[in-house]
Amino acid sequence: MLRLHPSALDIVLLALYFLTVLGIGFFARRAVGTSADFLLAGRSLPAWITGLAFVSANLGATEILGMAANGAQYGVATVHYYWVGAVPAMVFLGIVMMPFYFRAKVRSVPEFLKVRFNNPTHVLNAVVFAISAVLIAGVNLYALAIVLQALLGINLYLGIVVSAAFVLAYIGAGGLSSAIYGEVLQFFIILAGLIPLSIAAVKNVGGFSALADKVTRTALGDNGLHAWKGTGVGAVDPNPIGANWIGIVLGLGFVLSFGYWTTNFAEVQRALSAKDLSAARRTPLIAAYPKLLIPAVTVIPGLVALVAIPDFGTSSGLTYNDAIPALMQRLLPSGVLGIAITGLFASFMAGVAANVSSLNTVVTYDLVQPYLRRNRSDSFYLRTGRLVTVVGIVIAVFTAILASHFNNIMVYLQSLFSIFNAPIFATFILGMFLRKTSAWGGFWGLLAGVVSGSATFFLFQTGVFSVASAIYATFIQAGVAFVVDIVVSLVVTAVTPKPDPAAIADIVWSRRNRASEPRDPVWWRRPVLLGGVVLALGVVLNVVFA
Amino acid sequence: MTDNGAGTDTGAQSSRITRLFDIRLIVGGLLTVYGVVLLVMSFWDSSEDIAKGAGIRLNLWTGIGLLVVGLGMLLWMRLAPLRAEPDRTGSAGGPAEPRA
Repeated sequence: MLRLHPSALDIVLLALYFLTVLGIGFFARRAVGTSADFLLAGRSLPAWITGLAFVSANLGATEILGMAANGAQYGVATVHYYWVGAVPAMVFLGIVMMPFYFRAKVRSVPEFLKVRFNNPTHVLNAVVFAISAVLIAGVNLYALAIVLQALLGINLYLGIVVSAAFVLAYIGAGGLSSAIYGEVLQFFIILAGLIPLSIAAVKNVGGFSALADKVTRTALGDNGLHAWKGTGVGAVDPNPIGANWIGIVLGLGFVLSFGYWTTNFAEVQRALSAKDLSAARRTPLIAAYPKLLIPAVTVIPGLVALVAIPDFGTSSGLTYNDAIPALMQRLLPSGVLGIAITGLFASFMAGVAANVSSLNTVVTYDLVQPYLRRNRSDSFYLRTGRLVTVVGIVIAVFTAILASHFNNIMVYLQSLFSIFNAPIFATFILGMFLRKTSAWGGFWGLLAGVVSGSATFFLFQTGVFSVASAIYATFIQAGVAFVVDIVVSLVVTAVTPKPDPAAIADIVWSRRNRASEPRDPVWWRRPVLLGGVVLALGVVLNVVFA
Repeated sequence: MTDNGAGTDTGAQSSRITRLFDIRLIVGGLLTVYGVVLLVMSFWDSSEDIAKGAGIRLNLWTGIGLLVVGLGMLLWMRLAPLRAEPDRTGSAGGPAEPRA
């Protein structure tokens, strides 16, 4: 990664941001009285706040830098990660799945599995999630420290520890409210840096048609400007993304994305912290609108970097991940540069905070309270939440240090855990829509999905299987985990006792449950309307950029 | 047994979430400060800074944009303030939200 040279003013802008976030933590602390205040933000937040936090929690810098890198490497087809791989799942969460979480009166995603299936399923999901949350927090910390080191010359270990201490300070004080408020702030700061960057970048290469023309003359070719062209099965002139439309729609669009957006507690937690069911349903729907537009500030700079910087993406030049930092260095004057640097830090910070805040909720409410230390006072669980925050961040620091020595292993682990979203989603769908799925069916299906996903993953990693592109390999791994989960769940369901219909009547899909959902009196708050419009916009965008 | 947010519980603590401040103040405030700083800085932009930014006065326009969003957010907060609800026991109480 290359060096930036921020001026004193830029550092001041960055410092102002850090002070503000510490202030958020300090003042949010006053609003923490119960464990629910700390871990769930009292379930009291308005939809616009939870909606922005929802999109922001996923807007970590690995996402921003990574999507720009993908834009340079794969071209316009990178938009699939947004328009196919995020928005439909977010809409599904808001319209279809939220009512299930609310009817089950659960405080976390794993808790739903406890209510619907049994304790072993609950524990399995909680433990898998907790490990992945710590892992991702650590990876974000490491990535943050790398940026600190490369861009500003700060020692790597110092960067890790100081960043961790900072996150600990504001999350440990104010809990989820701090995290969510930080994410709302982060949303605006990130855009404040990326929008000027993208505009200047496009102008720098002579405008959109000049950019398009130049992209066609790179290795991406004309297909690099198209999201769907060249994705026919066995296409003669394949799209640079290296997957066909089946892999894109079913793999990325369905299995991987639905798994992540509908069951990953770091995201769903933001929706569950909303003040009522209507706000919770609107949270991912509100988040979907900016999500549609983010590619404009990630993919476009990636393409500009590809055409404007000599030897970009080759072994003699910069790496793909350098796309946004390189453009920042070339285009931004001191001032906006400070804002853009602050945006990068803000997004890394939030990547750590979102995972730590969901970690402490799952460990406290899904492991400690039901199994390890039952029937204690609420202030005990509040203290537990704070303690888990500290321990979680310490473990994340060690994970980050491990990542610095074994970076490839960290990448493997991250990819591995993302595979698990697929079987978790399968188990949820079976639990919500198939009344007869038995408790042990849920457990064995989930376990089988996790194991088979891991096995497929390792078979690909060790080269036993291989396909054209890494993206396609991920689709296959997730697909295997998904299918195995469903098959094993159904088989085990057939030979184990059925669940008590009365116990689960409220939380599975039924016409009666569907009819009992309250109608929003205000037309522009209706989830179906909000969701329908954003899906329609997504379709339009897909057609325009096909 | 799930604990739904604010309210009575064993132990001395009760929910204080209603004391949570309005984030619009912070976001609006910081963006306004950033906007002013960038605007002021833009007067010192050298011609090479402007050429670097592909001929666009980035500090100026970004400053204006941030100022507009920041002031807009503060104005929104002024026009539609959070009203503190009376404490409701046993329910997920919180700051009353005028809309959205």
